Amino acid sequence: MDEQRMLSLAREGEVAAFEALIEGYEDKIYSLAFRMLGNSEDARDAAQETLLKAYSGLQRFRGDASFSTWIYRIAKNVCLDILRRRSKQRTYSLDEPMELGDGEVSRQFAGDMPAPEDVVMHGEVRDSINSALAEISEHHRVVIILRDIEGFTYEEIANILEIELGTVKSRLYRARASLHEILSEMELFRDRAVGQSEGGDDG
Amino acid sequence: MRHTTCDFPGELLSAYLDNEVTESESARVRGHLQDCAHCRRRLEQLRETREILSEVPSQSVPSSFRRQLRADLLRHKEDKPGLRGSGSGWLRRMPMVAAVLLLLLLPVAGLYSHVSAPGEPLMMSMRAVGEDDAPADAPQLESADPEPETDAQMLSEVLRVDEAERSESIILHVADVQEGTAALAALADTVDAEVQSHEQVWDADGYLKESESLLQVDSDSYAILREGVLRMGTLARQRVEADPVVHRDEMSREFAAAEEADQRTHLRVVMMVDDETISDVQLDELCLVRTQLEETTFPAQLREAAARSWTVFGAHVAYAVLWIAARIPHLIFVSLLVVTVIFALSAHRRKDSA
Repeated sequence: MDEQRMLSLAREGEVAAFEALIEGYEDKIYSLAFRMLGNSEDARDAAQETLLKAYSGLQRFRGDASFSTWIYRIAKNVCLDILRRRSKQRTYSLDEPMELGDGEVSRQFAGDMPAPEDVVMHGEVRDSINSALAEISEHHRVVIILRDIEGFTYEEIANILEIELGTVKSRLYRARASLHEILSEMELFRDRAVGQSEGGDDG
Repeated sequence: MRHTTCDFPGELLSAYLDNEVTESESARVRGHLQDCAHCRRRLEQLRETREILSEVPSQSVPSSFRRQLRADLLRHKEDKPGLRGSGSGWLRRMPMVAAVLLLLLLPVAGLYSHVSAPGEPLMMSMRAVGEDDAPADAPQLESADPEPETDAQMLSEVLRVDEAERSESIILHVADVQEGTAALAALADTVDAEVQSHEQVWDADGYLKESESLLQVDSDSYAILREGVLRMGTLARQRVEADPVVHRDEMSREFAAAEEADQRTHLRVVMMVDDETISDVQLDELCLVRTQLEETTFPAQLREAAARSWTVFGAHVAYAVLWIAARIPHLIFVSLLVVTVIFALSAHRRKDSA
């Protein structure tokens, strides 16, 4: 059965057709959400919410973009939504201690990921990448995840995020550069150093 | 090691790494890399980052995920059976259809008001607003306009509609009731509307599910408030249901006295969570509406517009035109516009010859 046929069945509300349509996307969306949000619980919620929204909003999908682009776009929105809600909650909870501090206190609480030093101690490269990702801005994060982890082309990323190709390039560059800086501080490149004698200053 | 810094564009290096550059960009990068050790190092760092990320394994959904999803999908399907019917697409296009109709009917309405005798009911509602709201300034309409008669008829046509919908309830289906209520409060503030009663329903998680606000506003600001609320709906692509008929029955008895006493009127706004919306986009747009409404010039201008309601009518039309312009391809829009102009001209000519 081709995608068009499944689409029209799914639009009618046919759950099985919808499931066939999203076959293979669940893992990818979950993966994206996991890297964006940093933990499996939120990632699960985000993937669930994305697919439910796709199901109920299928009428709105008119095929201007590919189904894949459309569904990733929803996933991206859901993730940013969760991050926004999370940052609101965090602001509230930090309200009181902030009164005592000098206003910089809030910056210390970058995320609910494990602290970098713990991670390096455990030698979990994967986890330190996660916590490094949590430190860069969400706009940079989503671009670098889509490109370097999920392997989308620049054009696909531009479509998913609804931004210009040039913006994709500049965000990706900034994301890579700042991620490199953070990962270097975690000494993650120590053992991987590519026989380079000239080190020192960074870009 | 000649350079310690270099302002060669980093995004070009990064895109070069991915082979997402043009032929000439690629040559430019290669040329530069030969001379610049600093950029060679930068490129190497970008490559390192890319490599380490590519080794990150993809995640798979937990084992119970698909079962849970199916249960949710089935529940969703049962909850909103009407949603999936063919009618829903049509319903969603209602605002657009309305806008097109408005544009098309505009010249026809003009024609009608020229051909028919000056309507008495129209004059009545004119008087109602003119006398009650701005007794001293009301004549400005006539003196300001070269063709007072025509405009008066157009104006009262619209006024009558507004009169008919004085007390009404508007239901907004929003993604986030909290945000929506805040936007409404800001809007009410700009037109000095008073929130008479405010009822909120929370769900078990402490999430605001529903909110009902009864707003009391001066009759001359009523149109502004109403327009603002509807605009919140349109701009945020939310579903708006206005049901003046049902509401008037129960409202009119309750508020008729109050309305007569101080020429105020009431607007009930109910906000409900709508699951099928994509909330992220909507929140942004709601915030945008709020910002627009908060701009100081806006209420003043619209207040003035309400005193001269033909401007409101003009604003309605302009808004409809812009709304359409943003949504349909230019060619169709231009041809619609041409048809409208032709209609309007022929209506005008017919009036002249009569």
